[in-house]
Amino acid sequence: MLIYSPLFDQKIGRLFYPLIRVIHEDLGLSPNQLTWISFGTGTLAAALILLGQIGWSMVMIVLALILDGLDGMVARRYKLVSRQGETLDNILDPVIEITLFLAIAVSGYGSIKLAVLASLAVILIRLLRKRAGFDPGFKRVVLIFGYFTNFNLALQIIFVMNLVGYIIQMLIVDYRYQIVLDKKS
Amino acid sequence: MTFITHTIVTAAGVQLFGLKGMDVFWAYTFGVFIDLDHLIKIPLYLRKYGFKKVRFYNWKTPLQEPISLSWILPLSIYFGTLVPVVAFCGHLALDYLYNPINRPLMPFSDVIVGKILPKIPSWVKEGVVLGFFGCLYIVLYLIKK
Repeated sequence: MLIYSPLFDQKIGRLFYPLIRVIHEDLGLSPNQLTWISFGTGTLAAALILLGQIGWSMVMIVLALILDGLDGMVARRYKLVSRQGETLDNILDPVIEITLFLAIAVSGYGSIKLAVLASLAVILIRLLRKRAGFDPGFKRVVLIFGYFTNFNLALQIIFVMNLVGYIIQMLIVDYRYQIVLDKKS
Repeated sequence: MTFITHTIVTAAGVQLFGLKGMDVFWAYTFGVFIDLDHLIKIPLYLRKYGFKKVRFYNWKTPLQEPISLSWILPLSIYFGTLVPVVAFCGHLALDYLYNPINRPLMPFSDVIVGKILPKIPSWVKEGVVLGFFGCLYIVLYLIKK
């Protein structure tokens, strides 16, 4: 999955235009405010996991995911894309993902080792995300899958997919660099 | 270094540490077959040089640089074995003896470092490594037999 898909915005994204209009024009929420609300919702989800309210925490994760998608759509629709917003998104997203993994492990729903490894993979994939323009995206969505199956399995999928994604990112950036080197020599 | 040298060094390592099962797979994957990353650059090489033979083309990708420990180490922890890290470090050491241009931090930095023991010709180093590990492999094989 690419970071930003124009096709998604043009075709499927249109379905969200009425909602985007309500959020931005009627409620007056900016993309950055949506990012912070998404972060708050994600934090609440982590707190609910710690309190043993795993079902409600999954509802909060879904809500946080929707809000996380909407902030970018609002930014693009109303030409409010900014470097600051992008940076904010890049910092808060992994923070909430790691918080959720650790909350799952601390509450005994998953292993500490897998939570730490999944967190590490999420950090690694963020390092080259922008330069490579590629992110497999297997993070919070997989946790919802874990709720219906097994959180350890979900954490393993997150770890493996993001580690593979990081390797692909390395190769993409290096391949582009090689093209530049070949042109110079 | 060449595919043969990497294979002999890895085979000797497998014998020396008495590796079995999946550990043998990891040893050969990170000691030898990681060289398959060169295939990625074939289209670029062909585009630039065609079928002409050019020495020291930058075939290596970051998968064969120390920066790759950033993913090999977590992978080793996940599988509960240090074999990938050890085999990779062995592969790396051999390549750094041979290759004149290395980019240890690629793609985070394009800083270049030279080879280890630059005054000794690469063919001498390869010969010594091949001879030493070849003999070690034969001796270990005979002892175990």
